[in-house]
Amino acid sequence: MTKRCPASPGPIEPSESIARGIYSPDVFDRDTGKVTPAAVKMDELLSIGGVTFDCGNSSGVSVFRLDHSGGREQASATVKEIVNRPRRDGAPRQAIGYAQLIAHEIINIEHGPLDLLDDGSAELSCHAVVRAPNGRTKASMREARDKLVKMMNDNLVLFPKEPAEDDSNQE
Amino acid sequence: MMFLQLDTHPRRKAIPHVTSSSDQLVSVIDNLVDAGDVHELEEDMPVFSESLGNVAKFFGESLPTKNGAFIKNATFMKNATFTAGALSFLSSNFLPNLNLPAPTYGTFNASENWSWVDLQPDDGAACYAQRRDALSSRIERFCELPANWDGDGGVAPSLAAGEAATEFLSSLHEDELPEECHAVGDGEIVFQWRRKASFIEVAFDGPTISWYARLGDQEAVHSTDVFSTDSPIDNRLREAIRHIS
Repeated sequence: MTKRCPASPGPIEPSESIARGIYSPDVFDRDTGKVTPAAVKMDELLSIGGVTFDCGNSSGVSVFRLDHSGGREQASATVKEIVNRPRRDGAPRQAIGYAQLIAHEIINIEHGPLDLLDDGSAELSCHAVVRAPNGRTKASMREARDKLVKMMNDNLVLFPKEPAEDDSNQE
Repeated sequence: MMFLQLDTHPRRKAIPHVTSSSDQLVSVIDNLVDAGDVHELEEDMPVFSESLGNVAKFFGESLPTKNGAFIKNATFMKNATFTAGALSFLSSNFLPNLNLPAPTYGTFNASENWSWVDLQPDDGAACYAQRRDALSSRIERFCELPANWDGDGGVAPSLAAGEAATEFLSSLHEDELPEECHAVGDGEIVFQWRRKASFIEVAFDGPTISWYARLGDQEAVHSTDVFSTDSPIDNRLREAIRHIS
């Protein structure tokens, strides 16, 4: 198998670690401590707007390949970029971490399967996308999405807490 | 001796129908039964004995003392009843590791001698009405979300989706209400039900209803339809929700 995008580090291996950034409150409910279904939009999973193969911006659910140089940094930077976007209510978002999954477990998700495609670009070489195979409907993929969200819940890697600003002033 | 009686829910057994997330609770209750600490007075009315202490331990590292109102915003009074709502509140706020869905199941009554925790008086109808109102309010808030509400291109549900979702809720029996309700960023309002090996998801995108139901080992069924008050809900979905409730 060959890689799909020139900037990708290579084809995705079944044992590779794959990350989906998680942040609150929109895709992570701090009250329940759970990733919500909003972490996997059905429109993205099903490529409702049309299946595209534009490296770095292909249709699908965005994930990152952690086992290659820059993967963790790209995953962290992406979620933190989202976190910094303003919310109308002013309440801050918080970067929680990322769900760290295994490529073959995504592909072989129960009630799936799913496709996992390398989607590297010059800026995000470790980008990849998860999407449903052609011909699947939203209705038919709902439990696969639920299983994927559960897998994310079960495999959260939390970002280290930022030190408090005034810690250095404490005696 | 102090007792906690677990009354029969009118349409379910007193012990919660298990979901994948409440297996642990049921396992503990089963262990209490095996240990002789839970005695069945009659069918579907198990009674916890002074092993209430054990139940308390199970329920809480968060339970500080026997006299403590350990449930935030919910006080318990003896000889009163708290419903599934209160238990779900307990579970969702103090037992995150158990991942119990809300609402949970059954009704707890305290005996006269049960004094170490207080129960908030409530009744099933009020609880379910609150639950329905809470869901409706949540739907209203979803429809008011701004563009890009999630920072990642999130689309707010349309008013049509909100109306359809609310109408759908009103068609459900009180104990058929979904456990979870989400806006998921692609314009859908999503309801979910889970039991041990069963899963149902119903989503509204505008007037379109897209649903999936799998009960145990049975083959999943799913469909996409136009939802209207004039058209009955697909009987397969109706039966699945009734079965899982």
